[in-house]
Amino acid sequence: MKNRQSKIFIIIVILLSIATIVFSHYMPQMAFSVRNVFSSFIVPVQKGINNVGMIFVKRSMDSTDLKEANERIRILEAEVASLSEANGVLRAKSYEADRLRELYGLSDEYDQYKKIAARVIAKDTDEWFQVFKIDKGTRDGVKVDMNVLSSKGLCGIVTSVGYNYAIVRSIIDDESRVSAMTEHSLESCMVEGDITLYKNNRLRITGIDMNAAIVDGDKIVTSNISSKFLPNILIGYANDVTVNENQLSKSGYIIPVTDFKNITEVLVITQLKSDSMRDN
Amino acid sequence: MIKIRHGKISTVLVHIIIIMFAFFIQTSIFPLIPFFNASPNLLLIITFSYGLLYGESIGLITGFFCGLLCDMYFSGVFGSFMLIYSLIGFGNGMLNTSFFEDSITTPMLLSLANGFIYNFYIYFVHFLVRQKFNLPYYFVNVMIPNVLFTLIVTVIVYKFIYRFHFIWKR
Repeated sequence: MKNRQSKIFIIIVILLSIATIVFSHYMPQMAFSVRNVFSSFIVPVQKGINNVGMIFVKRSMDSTDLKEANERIRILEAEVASLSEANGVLRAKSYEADRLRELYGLSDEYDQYKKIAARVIAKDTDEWFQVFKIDKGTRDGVKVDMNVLSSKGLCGIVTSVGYNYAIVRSIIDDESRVSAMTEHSLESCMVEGDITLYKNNRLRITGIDMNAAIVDGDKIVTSNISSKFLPNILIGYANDVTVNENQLSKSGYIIPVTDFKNITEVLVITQLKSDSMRDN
Repeated sequence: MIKIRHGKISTVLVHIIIIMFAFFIQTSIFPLIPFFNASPNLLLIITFSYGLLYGESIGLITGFFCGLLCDMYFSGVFGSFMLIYSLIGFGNGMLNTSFFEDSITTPMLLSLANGFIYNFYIYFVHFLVRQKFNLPYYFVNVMIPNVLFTLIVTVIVYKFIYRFHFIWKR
């Protein structure tokens, strides 16, 4: 008797799950609003727990890091001396560049974008997905397809957003595709996330033209023909670029500038590529 | 076999709190710990432990709830986690009558089996459909670390749930 009842239960649940999968596939808006309501309860708790966890993790890290830190201070002090010298030279060059930029009526686009800082409050712990949640949402002006930066360069893109949270898919996720180009020669290529590569801190680049002048160490930035990513955001440096077997194109790897293992804070550019195109 | 007393709101509430707690730890605490390259799947452990201890109906409900949390949480189609967690809860619940409660061996073996089922399911649903055929790589680098870590944590979490189950029973 009991057995039959639970069998009916499982059939109901299976049908319900399949129904929601189909339903949400065709009507993503529905799934979105359900998630949004749910998150307005969940996010504050996640924020709090994340805060508490942060305190503990930091405390334990602090003590172990102290010894290491002292050693590094010594090394770094030496480095600072040499860098400050180099900095002087660079500053002179930067002034020159600024003047030239003014002359040509260009301004540094990268600084021009309005950005808001957000904290990473949760991550998908399955190794399968490289997705995380941040504590800024529609309330703060975040929209789907906004670019997300780490302190060093491109980090990901907002894939869905709720009232007080947003989900960011990092560029190392297996589904991520970023249209990119080399900074110097403007050769276009495609940067693809790959689960088999991200542990070695690499991404794949494909679709490079056979005759493209691209060498290892070239700076790879987001392309100006990308439909979602704003142009000239640094992604990383090319590595191991080789000719494909079919002798028609090249492919290789890219070492990203962002350290994806320890992302705690990110910047969201509150300007969409589609907006900037409208301006022009 | 003792079944959870239906209708007792406090019991249900306690279980919901346990699940939510596990969920928060998994999503907000584990990612902070730097040397965790893989992380254990607490919700999976809870689902199959409940199935094992309380039977198919409770296993199913627990699985459904855990899956719902996962689905609510991230973008993409809605319901794929609901399906797998419910099935795991139900499947382990069927073993409820034919296992020896005291031993840790059964839960450990089940943890391995469920871990692989779960990971293969994700591979088929999210990766194979996008023509990603490098299964050996995924198997060694993603599935095995995840399953083994889950196995280790099973020993601790199952003990906790089991003790709790006992206290509650009395």
